[in-house]
Amino acid sequence: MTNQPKQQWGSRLGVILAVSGSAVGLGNFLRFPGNAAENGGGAFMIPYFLALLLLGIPIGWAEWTMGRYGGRKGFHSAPAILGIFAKGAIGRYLGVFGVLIPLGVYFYYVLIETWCLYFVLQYFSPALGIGIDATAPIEDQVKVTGDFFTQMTGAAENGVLFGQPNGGGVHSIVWTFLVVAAINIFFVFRGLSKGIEAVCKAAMPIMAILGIIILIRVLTLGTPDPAKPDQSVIDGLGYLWNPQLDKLTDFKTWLAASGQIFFSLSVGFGVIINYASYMKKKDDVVLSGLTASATNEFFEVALGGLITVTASIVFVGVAVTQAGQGGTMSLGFKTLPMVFAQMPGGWIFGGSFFLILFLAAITSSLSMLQPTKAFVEESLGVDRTRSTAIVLGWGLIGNFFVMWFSKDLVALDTIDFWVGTFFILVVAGVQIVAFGWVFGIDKGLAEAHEGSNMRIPAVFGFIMKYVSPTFLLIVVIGFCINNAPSYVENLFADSEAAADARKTWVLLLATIAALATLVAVGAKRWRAQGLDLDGERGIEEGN
Amino acid sequence: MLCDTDLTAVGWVFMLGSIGAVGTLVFYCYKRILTHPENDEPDLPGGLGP
Repeated sequence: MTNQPKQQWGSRLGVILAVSGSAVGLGNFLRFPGNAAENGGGAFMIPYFLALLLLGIPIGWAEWTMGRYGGRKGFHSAPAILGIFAKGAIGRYLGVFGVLIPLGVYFYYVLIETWCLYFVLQYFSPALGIGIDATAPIEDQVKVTGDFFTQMTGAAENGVLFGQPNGGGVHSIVWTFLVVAAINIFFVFRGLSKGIEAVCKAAMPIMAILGIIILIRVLTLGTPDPAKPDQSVIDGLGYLWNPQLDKLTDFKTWLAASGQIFFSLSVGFGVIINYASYMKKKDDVVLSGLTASATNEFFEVALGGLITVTASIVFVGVAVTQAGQGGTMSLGFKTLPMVFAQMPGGWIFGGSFFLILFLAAITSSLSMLQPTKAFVEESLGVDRTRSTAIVLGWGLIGNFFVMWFSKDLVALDTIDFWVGTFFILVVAGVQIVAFGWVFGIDKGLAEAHEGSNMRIPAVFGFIMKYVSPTFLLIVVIGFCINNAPSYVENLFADSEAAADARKTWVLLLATIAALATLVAVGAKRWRAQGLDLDGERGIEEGN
Repeated sequence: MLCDTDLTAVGWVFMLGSIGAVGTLVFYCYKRILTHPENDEPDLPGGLGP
């Protein structure tokens, strides 16, 4: 470790809001409603809540507990803490994925965050604008938003953002990105309490208030066009919430619901374990973990479940909504701009909505930098300035890579699938097995109850040891069967997209190799310092 | 894809039930958080810290 003063959260509410801020992201407002509408509507909520109870909350509790325990032994990163819980080098090296995930996702997530800010600027600046003519035929509007998205993301050609056709120079999204990256690095450098905690304490209430204002606006839209009586608020709500109970017999519905819970709560992401490591020994983790999950669910179900798809049905109808709901990007950046273009006062509500998305994104992206920064500090023994500089450089390499290989968003999609989806399942699996089986479920629950304001119900001991790992295994197998073959096949195809995907893998493998090297270097240092890096001693026996 | 877009009685039940469930959970959690005094003991010697 270094000789810096030990970092801690300023308050319990601060760490809860920081974890909630990490979890609440674009998926709550865009992915959840599309996922629910496609997979049974109201019936989707049955597997969704079951997954929350059997997967999300239990693994979250394990992660909070492991983080706080690791922090007491002087560690703050997933590799070091998993080394303690899995008792050795295997856990430590598997923990590399607990740093790769936040860092790798940051490579592209900060770009999506940039798009959100870019949209805010379009709505609030009279000189800008997306250029949608609300009176034009819907097909024309679809083309305008599609073209705007393609230009903003550089999806037409690799490198186009850095050299526009006809000598247009660098696209303004690149300058917007630099501002967003600077904001991120500034707050991460300020540290936990003055940086991340301060941002989340301000951003979360703003998001909630803006979300409720937009929700009220959407729910009071009625039937704006009497000529289209099937495009009303009640129809919008019915589209999303009417249950299709026959979908419950479809395995894909269960898989989609479990995946939604899993990825939404940020469990297995490497963030909670890092954030919890800065808690004090007697700080509560049980109620805090549950509260963070509940906050995320409120944003997802009560706001995400009522705003986006409802407004979309009201203004652009079922056909366009269905076309857009398949992907987070499509619904958010193509369909919704059309919706706001037709909504009275749409520039205010559009700007506010994308401001919510931007705040949701920045509270998440800050949480992605912190685990890497902590890992660099404790593995190399460097101070905060150096670790921030290293993380800044590492992040920029990934950001510019994704921005350059922008054609059809292949690089972004490749990292999102493997790092932002598949590896999360792996890390969560390692965590729950290490907690329930290697460390021991009884010892783990006793540790969780240290200083807790509520007890974990006894049945969760059984759930965490047997049900959650089994449930997770089924999700992994189902996920691989459904998704992995096409991604693997595409990786080895003879096409430009496949070549870009392979280059992205080179970046990922280089990142993994660098992180593994840091683990080796760190382990040597920790051993020399007499730290209990293999979890051989209890807390009471010292470090 | 959905058979009916007019919100049905069962749709109302699922919608209000889901929102009620998460709303109640949030209310319960924050009520407990705000009514339980925060641990303000100085941290015990344990981790070496960064």
